[in-house]
Amino acid sequence: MNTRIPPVRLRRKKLAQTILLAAFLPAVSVLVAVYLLFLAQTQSGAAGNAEIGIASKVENSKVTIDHQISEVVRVVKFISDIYPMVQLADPKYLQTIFESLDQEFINHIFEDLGVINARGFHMAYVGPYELLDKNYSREPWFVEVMEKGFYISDIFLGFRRVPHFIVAVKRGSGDSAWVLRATVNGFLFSSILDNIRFGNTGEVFIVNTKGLLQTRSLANGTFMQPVNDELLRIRHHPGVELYRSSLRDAPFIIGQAWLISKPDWLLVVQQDERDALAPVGATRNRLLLLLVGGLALLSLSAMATIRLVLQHFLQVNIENNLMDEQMIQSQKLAAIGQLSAGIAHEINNPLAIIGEEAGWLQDILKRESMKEFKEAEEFKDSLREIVSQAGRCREITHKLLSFARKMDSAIRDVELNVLLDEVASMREKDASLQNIKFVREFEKDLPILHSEPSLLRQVFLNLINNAIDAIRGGGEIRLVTRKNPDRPDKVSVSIGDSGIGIPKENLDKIFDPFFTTKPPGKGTGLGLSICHGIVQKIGGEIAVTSVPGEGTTFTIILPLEPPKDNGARSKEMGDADLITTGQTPRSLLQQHIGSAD
Amino acid sequence: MKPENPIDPDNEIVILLVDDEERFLRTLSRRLVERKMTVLTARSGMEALATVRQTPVSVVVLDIRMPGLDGLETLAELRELRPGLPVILLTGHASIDAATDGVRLGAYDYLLKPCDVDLLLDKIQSALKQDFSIPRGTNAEQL
Repeated sequence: MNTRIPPVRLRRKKLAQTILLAAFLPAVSVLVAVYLLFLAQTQSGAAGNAEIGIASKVENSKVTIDHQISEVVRVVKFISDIYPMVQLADPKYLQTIFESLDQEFINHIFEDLGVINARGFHMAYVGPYELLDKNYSREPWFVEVMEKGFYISDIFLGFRRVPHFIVAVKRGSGDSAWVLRATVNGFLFSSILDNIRFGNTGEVFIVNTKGLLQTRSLANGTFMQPVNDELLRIRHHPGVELYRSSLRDAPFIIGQAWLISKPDWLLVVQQDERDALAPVGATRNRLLLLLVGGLALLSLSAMATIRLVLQHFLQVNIENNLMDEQMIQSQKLAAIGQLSAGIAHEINNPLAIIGEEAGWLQDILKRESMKEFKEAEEFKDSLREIVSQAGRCREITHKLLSFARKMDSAIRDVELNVLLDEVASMREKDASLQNIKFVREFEKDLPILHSEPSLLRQVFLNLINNAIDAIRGGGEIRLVTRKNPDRPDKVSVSIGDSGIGIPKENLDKIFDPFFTTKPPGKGTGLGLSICHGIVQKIGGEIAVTSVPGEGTTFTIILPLEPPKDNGARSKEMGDADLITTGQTPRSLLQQHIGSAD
Repeated sequence: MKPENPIDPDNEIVILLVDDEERFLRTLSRRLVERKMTVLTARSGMEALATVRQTPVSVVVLDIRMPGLDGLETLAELRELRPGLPVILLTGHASIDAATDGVRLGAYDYLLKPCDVDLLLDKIQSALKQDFSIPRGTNAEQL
């Protein structure tokens, strides 16, 4: 169904966006600021925490490793102190001691045990290798232990190609000096430090002064491999040194400290900074999720509010537009009224002259002297026609002007059902010839209206005439009157036909003056425009619904009481009274002379 | 003042036609003369007042819309000048209010242009039978 709705040119979407933006910009700014502040705080806090954690791991690991080294050294020193060289040089005895050690240390950390004389030859050896023929006199470790009395080596692969290190102590002096040497499994520290790994990248490892790994490292490789010198700063410093470094664009937090029991070993703790800050990232993500969720909720509620406000606003706008349209409609009608009244006036004067001139000639023809005039009859006939046609014109203009006077606002009690029935009866007979049936659905106890019956008659007649014109080959016209339960001060009348209907594109124009779809000469296009003007004048509303091919229904809502400003408006409009009655020459003719529109 | 025929002392009815349309004035007066009326014409309110002052006019047929002194103003002057003189308003004007106002001011009646000369004569005859010294309400319902 097509319903006439006035055009609304609101850029609704843009308005909604603007309101949304205005409402959101401050909220979003504050939330983003809070978020950034939080981020800055937690990130710096987290970075600080990560550093503290690493420093603490350096301290703890250093204590553990120092303890392990000291323990190994203490055991070797203890054996060399309590057993005389003679006993230790006895392979069987040394074997017994080695087995005791193996049982004592769960991890089988001692690989072998050897007693070496001052010339560098083994006096006794217990272990998996054939080392008895080896001479160590030129080996740097041997030179050092002979010189300093104590030696701990770096990790080396040696003849055995497995990582190990040696702990050697010298006892005695001169040619009778001897050395107890223990080879310790290189995995001793690795297995301890492997357990201290943390996060995804956090690890502890040991390097020597040359930067060679003394334990395994996740990031740097295995035993004896050099660590990347871009990553590590190998330099002597007291206590724990903390710094940041990067390897292949990966930022690392590094903590390091030199061991006490083996001062040329550097214990290093390192972790990828991103890994260290990962918990912060998770918290940040949760916060972000919370913020986004909050904003989404805020948007939804704001959108809902805006939608409500906009709907209200649009409703008001539509009502305003309707009022504007009605104002324009009355102005158009006012112009037409003035025009037609002016035309009537302007025609009257020349019409008077035409009439008088023809009358004068008729007078002359009646004279005695004209009796000889052969063509007198022809002249008389022509003049009669001139007078008759001038008279016809005079009738039109007179009725136009007299109508204005007769239509002067006269408010009376109106029984709407009776009046509508009266008007319908006027056309019912004609309509029945075209197989058009009138169906009356009148509300029984309809209240009495105080209105202008002549105007109502005109509106109803006009709408019924239109309905008849719209029906092709029979149909029905339904006349309905109703009380309005929602608006007790108003009643409604609808006049519906089963005719051809009005195309959607014409629905907006039907109340415009001079709009017609009838063939030229068949309609003025003023009927509905006049109806609109009249209904408006008496304080009512007129609306139309139409479905092409099914029919059209006009509904008029009428107030029980006339509008209060009715008189004032009529006076104000002056000559335009003709308009408020909505009459034109043609509609006057239709009503008073009965000629077809 | 330009009588269309010499004033006949036996014929008491002297009609003064007042209209700014000269052709209308000429033809209507000829037709009235043809019907044995004595007709004077005036092309303005001022001219009409001058004629009434100088000539015993029986009835005035007065157009409403005229340049200068318009019909209603002329009517008011005539009421002062000769209260009993009947005046018939003849107008082509769209506004009925002016004509009805004229009747309230003391005009006998009004007719809308164009009008039938015989109707006008009837109106003149009946006007002459009335006493117009007292202003009356409208009886102009014959349209």
